[in-house]
Amino acid sequence: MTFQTTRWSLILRAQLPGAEGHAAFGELCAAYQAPVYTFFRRHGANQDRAAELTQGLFTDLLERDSLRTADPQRGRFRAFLKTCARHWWSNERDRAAARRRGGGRRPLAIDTDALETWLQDVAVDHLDADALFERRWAQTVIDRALWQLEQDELAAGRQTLFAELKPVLDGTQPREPWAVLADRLGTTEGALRVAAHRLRVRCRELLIAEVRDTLPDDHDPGHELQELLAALQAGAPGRNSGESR
Amino acid sequence: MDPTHRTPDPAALLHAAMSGGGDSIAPWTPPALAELAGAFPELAITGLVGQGGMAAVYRAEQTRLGRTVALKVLRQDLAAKPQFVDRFLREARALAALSNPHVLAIFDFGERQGFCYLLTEFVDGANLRELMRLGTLSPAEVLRIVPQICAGLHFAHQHGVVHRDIKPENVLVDRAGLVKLADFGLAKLAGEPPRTPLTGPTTVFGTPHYMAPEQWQGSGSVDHRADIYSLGVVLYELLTGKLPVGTYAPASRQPGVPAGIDQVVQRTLQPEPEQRYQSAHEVQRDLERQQPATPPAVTPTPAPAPRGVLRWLVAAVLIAAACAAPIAWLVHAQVQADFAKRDPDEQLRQAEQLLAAIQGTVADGKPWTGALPEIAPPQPRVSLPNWLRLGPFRWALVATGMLVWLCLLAAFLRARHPAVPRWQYVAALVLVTSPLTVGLAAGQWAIAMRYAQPTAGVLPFVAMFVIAAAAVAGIKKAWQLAGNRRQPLVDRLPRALPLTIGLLALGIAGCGVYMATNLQVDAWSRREIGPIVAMRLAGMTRQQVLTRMGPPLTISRSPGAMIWGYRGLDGQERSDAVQFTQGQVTMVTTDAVLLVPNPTPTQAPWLGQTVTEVIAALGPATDRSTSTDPNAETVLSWRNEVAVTVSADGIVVGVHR
Repeated sequence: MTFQTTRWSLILRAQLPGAEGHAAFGELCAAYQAPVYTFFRRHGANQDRAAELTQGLFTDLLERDSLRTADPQRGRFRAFLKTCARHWWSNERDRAAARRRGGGRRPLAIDTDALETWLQDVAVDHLDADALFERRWAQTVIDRALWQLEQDELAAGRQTLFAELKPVLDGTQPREPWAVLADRLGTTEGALRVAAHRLRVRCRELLIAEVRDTLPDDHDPGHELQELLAALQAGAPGRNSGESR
Repeated sequence: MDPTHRTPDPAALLHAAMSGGGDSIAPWTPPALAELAGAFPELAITGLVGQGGMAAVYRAEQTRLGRTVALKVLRQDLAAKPQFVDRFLREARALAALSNPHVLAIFDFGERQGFCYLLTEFVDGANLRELMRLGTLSPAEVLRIVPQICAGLHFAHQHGVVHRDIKPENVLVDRAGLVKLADFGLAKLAGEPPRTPLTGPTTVFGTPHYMAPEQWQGSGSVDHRADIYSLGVVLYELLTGKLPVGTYAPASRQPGVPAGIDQVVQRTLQPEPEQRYQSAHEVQRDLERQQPATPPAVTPTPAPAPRGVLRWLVAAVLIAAACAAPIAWLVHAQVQADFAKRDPDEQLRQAEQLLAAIQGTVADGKPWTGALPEIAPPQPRVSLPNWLRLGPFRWALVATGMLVWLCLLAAFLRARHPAVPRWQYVAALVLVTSPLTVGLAAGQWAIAMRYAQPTAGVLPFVAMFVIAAAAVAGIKKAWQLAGNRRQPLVDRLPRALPLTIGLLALGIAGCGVYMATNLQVDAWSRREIGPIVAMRLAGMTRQQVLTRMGPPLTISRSPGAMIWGYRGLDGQERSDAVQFTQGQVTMVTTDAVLLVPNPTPTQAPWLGQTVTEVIAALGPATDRSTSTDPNAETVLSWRNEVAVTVSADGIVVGVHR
């Protein structure tokens, strides 16, 4: 399975001067603010403080065009953003300045409620801030791919089908037999299975595309996926259980 | 939990993305889109959709025609080798010869700038192998898919084309569920000698599992019957998820697979072509006869109840209703018999108490109006061992219950979906009927404990059977409400839970009804029978006694008083008597304590009544004999048929026929 190598990467666009670059960068930040937020939370910032710090960091990146200094060929966006977050946290003492700059403006709305819920729902107590950042990053990549998939299906007028098939995207069997599900949706089992198969294939493609967006051109998305999987499994309850703190 | 709210497991998603969903790693790099764009300017190639060992397939738009097509491009290093080009050409010719909805349509074939290509219709779907990865298909769906393969194959065979590589990978299904045969690269074309050797490295393609024996043995001629063998392998694999290797298990062992399928599988898998089906059409015909017992509903509306269900339910209600009357009668008899067995010592003790009270108070000849001694109501002597001894009516009850239950079970099993094991249905029936059973048993116990009048046995039973009928109706309703019967019952039980709780409440309510009825009957019995009757008669007029007790059995006279005789509860005529003085009851004597109304008033229809009533009924008397004594009796007769003796105060004291 191969993908278009000319795929427009958000990072490349974010490096463009002018409005387009800013828009792309804004999109990128909006997409990946969640890992940063959880990173600050795990470092001990309270909710308001973490949101403020996250906004401050991204505002700072935007205003100072920091991204332009980051060469996407050098590494992944994930590592870049994590380093930025780490610096931002260690420069905590200079926060007054950041507050002046970012505190007043709210360029990025952070859904802190959703993130707090996530922090509580997912057993991640044993993770340090870096690992939590990775864990949340993986989740963000998946969320974005699923969201894109949902948009595609919506556009194709298959939202009902998508809602029913979403739970089986991960390769599990549906709770009801296929035939029953097909009956309920007014289609045949074969057609439903075809749709499920196409959806899985498409989800796979979108995931890889999503990962590609955060990588330099010559990087293998397989490696990145592997690392994300490792990050997820480190955070998965049962494997690395929460009591081993 | 609503399955639609479950989110996919993120780790599994990532894993699937990494493994590529199980697709094999491509051994070569297919040409880039840009390369192909130069060779096919009329096409807008939008992406690679798949690649095999020999060719890659791209999705493309034929911009002028506005349709989506599939572009199959032969691996470039193979384009120089004649046998591969021949395969490609073979496929193109085979497809070109076959224009059928179940065969992939071809649009173009040729070579451009070193790319050997095939332009076909684009099937937005998946092959059967990919569908099987999502779990074994339901028998109904297999029976929808395989006949379509048969149709495509039959069409090909009719046009002299033998596919020779039928396997799940080569059968496509589109989003509408339409089946299309693809990959005719190994096909034998019309007019070719039957022993055309398979071209090139046959081991690369297909697996021997799908090949007919004559194909892999290389002996004998390979004709369309080889496809029928492969079709049989595919059919078996679709149904069971396994290949029919060695002594394979019958496909009908899978839940929901009709038994007739085994014969079809067996006939397609015969090693000798002569013993197989001779045409794909025959396979199709036989498969279409094998529609599973519960055909899949095309619309999501609930399927109608299968035949026989309603019949068994009606039978259950009818049996319950028909047995209600005899059982009620048996109850009556049993309770009466039990009643007669009450403790005689206790009765005598009570009678003595009562008589002492009454006689003491009415000694001066005045109507008795005093207070009554506190007398305990008659207590039944019922114990659990007695009750468990199962009198005839209880046997009848148990038998009826079993019969009704079996009818319900038959109805349930009639409605059974073949994919659901029988035990689940039995378990569900036990679950649904247990509240009713508990209710009935508790009600019976309540009746036994109270042991009141015969009516006590009848009324609760009527109530019981009304409740039973309601419960049967409730079960049927639960069945309907629980939704799609093609869903396993265990999945539906949570939805049936409120109804089960409702039935339980009904059972408890039934117990309440029994208890209340019995208490009520008990109250009646206190008022109407036993020593209480005797007390109530005190001070009554003759007419009131007549109304309450019916005509007396005997009437005797003593100076200044008249005594009416009644019978005791045990049916024996004793000295049970009511004494009247000046028209009012002044004393009641009884040695059986219990006075019951005379059950056979016709024996002496006019005894105790007034002469006016007799004349009103029979007309004026035809003869009259009287004496001069004003206190003497008068005899009235009607045409020598009947004569009555009337006392001086106008009361009939004798009847003669």
